[in-house]
Parts: sequence; structure tokens; C-alpha cells
Amino acid sequence: MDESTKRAIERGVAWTGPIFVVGYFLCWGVLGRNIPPPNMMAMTGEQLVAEYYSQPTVAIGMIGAATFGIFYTIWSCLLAATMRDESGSMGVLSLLELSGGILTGWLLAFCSAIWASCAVLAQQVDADVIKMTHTFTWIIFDCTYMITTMQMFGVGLWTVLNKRQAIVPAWAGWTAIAIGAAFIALVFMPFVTEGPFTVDGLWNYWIIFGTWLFAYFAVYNFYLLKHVYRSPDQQRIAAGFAMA
Amino acid sequence: MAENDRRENPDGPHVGPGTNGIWTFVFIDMIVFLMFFLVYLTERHRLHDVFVEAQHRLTPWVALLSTLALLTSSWCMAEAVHAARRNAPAAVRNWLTCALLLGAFFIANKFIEYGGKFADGITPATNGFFTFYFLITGLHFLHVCGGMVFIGHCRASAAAEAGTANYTSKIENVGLFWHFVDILWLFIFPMLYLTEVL
Amino acid sequence: MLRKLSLPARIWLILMALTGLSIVLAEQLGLRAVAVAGIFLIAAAKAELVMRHYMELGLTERYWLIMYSIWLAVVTMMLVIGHLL
Repeated sequence: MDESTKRAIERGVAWTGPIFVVGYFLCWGVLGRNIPPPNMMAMTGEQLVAEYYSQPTVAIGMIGAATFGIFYTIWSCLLAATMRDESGSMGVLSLLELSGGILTGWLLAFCSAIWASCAVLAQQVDADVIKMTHTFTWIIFDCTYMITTMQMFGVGLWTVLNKRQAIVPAWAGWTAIAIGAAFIALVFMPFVTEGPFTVDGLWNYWIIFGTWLFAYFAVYNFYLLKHVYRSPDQQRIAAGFAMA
Repeated sequence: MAENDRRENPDGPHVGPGTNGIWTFVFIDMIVFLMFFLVYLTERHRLHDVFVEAQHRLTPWVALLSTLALLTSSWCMAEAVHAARRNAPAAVRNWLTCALLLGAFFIANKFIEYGGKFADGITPATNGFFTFYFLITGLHFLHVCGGMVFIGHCRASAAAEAGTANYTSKIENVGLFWHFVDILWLFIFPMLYLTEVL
Repeated sequence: MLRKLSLPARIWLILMALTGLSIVLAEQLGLRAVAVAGIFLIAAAKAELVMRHYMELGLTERYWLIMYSIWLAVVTMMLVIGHLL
């Protein structure tokens, strides 16, 4: 494949990051009525069906989210391909990032598909079954946070430890690591019905997802987009490869 | 070390103690704890009576001893850094030993405190206050443990490396991290233990 | 005699004294608002001493001094206001 084609593909793939943000926000967040989500741990099945799944856009939103969720994985592949060491090789940190990106993207899509099925079947199936499926999915969505923590540690450590690269500044790497570590509070989610650690709580929803989006994902999107629009020589210099 | 990092200061190497990386890491960690404090305060406002009653079940004197230990350990760490700068490896080892012993006292104190809570049937699930109590002090405790590992490494390598620029940079970084751990406790102590002392 | 002590040691003495003061204040619940504000202002003073003299914040780049000082001010204000509301 010639260089110009390769560059064009990278530039196209780089835009899947912003597309993911817009698409997932609109579908999962707005149409899916997840800003914030219902606090199902403090609701009965009947309440959940009556107050949340009665909204007609939830099913459409979740099906859309099942599509846009995988854009996250596509973006993560480009990030992994960019994360090389001084010799130009991908290493374990790149693989951690890629694994995390694949699993996170799958989770974003997979859980949305399950919530879509809840929405479609809400009026046909017992409310407690809907609540069980809804809750089971949220616990998977939140409590497998390690898949994203792993990704953020992978890219964060590469950012900080690869002193030769100038694609992403060190502070962004430290931020990624800190946010990835802060996800640990999600372990409280299944056990609380009120307060900041509920599924819609100040910490476990607004702060965690907000910092993830604005202080990590937006930042890395910015620097990745900036990088893919550099010339090939500028890219090699920014990546810190040993010049031939 | 800083000279090889092309991103940190394009106009020249980082100035002052430690590296730009540790100042960055510490600052971001401080932001995370600031957010924890903010969420604690909102929850305390919402469940005021629960929090006040729960705080009366704490043992401020135990926490005071922890405070004194950590402050003194910080002093020892500062002295160790000064000793490293004047190339005095024996003094470095002695000061770091003191810092470690005081850190170990803090850790032991924490085990005693947690043990007392569990013996009284208090767990993170008891109420909103104790969720925060265990979360904030637990995260801080993990930072203390991490700091002890780094201090231990500096102590172990003091004899062989003290006096080199690399070692000085390393011990300065560890010192900065340890003082940050101390600063966190300076706010955690009054926030959790002192505001409802009888 | 105090002058013979190293700077870190002198700072430690001040930190001990401030810690004692905060304990005394903590027990003065009759003047609750003053006591609570005082406790956190003392904590801020101690943190400032640690930042300035142990971390040597003043010797590093100016933007770190500014950012750390802002953090200190924000945390202190937040804790004081949060406990007085």
C-alpha cells in the first residue's frame, strides 16, 4: 500500500473518535435517556418500566448506540498503531491499549443491544425480568471498568515513559492513568441505592464519565488528529523513531 | 533525565527539585482527591445527621498519632534529600530509615484503627459516611504503601548511588511524592476526625 | 538553639505546634464556625509550609507554584464553606 493511501486511511480512522462521541452521546445519552440513567437499584421493576422504558426513543437510541459503540474500537486501533517505541515496534503497552479498546467498544455496543431488547420487550415481559436484565447489564457495564482502566494505563504509561515521543504531552498520560484508577469506585455501584456511588451518582456517573470524556478521550482525540495530519517526516520525528 | 524528555521544557531542562513528571503526577493526583473531598462534602450536606453521628464513632487520638508520625516522616524525608545533595550516604540511609519506621507506624496505626471498626461491626456498607471514610483513608493508605516502597528503594540504593545526579533526582522525586501523601493527610485528618470532636 | 536546627527541623516544630492548636480548636465547639474554619485554615497553613519548605515549591517553575497554590486555596475554601453551610 503506498504512503498516501495509508495516510488517508489513518486520517479517516482518526475521525471515528469524534464520530463515536457525537453518535454515542446522541444515541445512548439523549435518545436512550441516560443523562443520567435511572437509579434501578432504588426502583422496583414496575417503576423502571413505567418511568424509563415507557419512553419511546430508548429502543432506537440503544440500537444506534450498538452501532456507534464499535467506533470506539476502531479509534483504539489507530491509537495502538501509533503507540510505537523508539525502534518503531509496538510493545506490550500498545497491546494493553488495544485490548482495552476492543473490550470497551464491544461492551459499549453489547450492553446497548441488551438495553434495546429490554425496551422492545418491556410491555410484553414481566417487569421484574426487565429490571433483572437491565440491572445485570449495568453491573456488567460499570463493574468491568478494568477493561478501560487497562487501556488508559497502557496508553498513559506509554505517553509518560516513552520520552522520545512528542505526539501526546506527559500531563495527558498522567491524567489518563489517574482517571483509569479513579474508576475503582464503580465497585460500590451494585451495593448502594443513594449517594454519589449509585449508577447515576455524582462520582460514579458525572465525575467518572465526565472526566473520562473531557480530560482523557477528547484530549487524546485532539493529539491523534493533530498527528495524522502531519507529514510523514514530521510524524516520524514526533513519534521519536530512530531515524534510518 | 529531564534533558532527554523533549516535551517537558523545550527551552531547557526542568528547574528545581524533582522532575516535571512527578510535579505533574502529584498535581493530577491532588485533583482526584479534591474531587473526592467535593463529593464527600455534598454527601455530608445531604446526610448531615448520619455523618455527624458516624464521626462520633471515630477515634481522633489514633488519627492524631498518625498525623504526627506522617509529619515527622516528612521532616525525615526532607533531611534525607538534603543529605543526598551534600553526598552523605550514611546520613541519607539514617534519615530514610526514620522515615520508613514512622511510615510503618502509620500503617500499623491504620490496621489497628480499621480492626477496631470491623470489631464494632462497622464496614464501608454501614452508612454513607463510612463508605467515604474507608474509601478516602483506604486510597490514602495505598499511597502510603506505595511511598514506603519507593523510600525503601532509595534507602537500599543509597550506599551505591548517593552523590550521583541520578540518585539525587530520584530521591527528590520520592520526597515530593511523600510530602504530597503527607499534605493529603493534613486535610483528611481534620475533615474526617476533627470537625465533630466532643 | 533554634538557629542551630536545620530548616526542615524548624518547620517540623511549627507543624507540631499548629497540629496542637488545631486539636485545641476542635474542642471549642461553642464557637463552632470559628473552630471549624480555624481547623481547616491551620491545615492549609501546615500544607503551605510543607509545600514551600519540604517540597521546595518556590524553587520550581512558576506555573507549578501558581497551580499548587490554587489547589491549596480551593481545597481550603471548599472545606470551610462545605462545613459551614
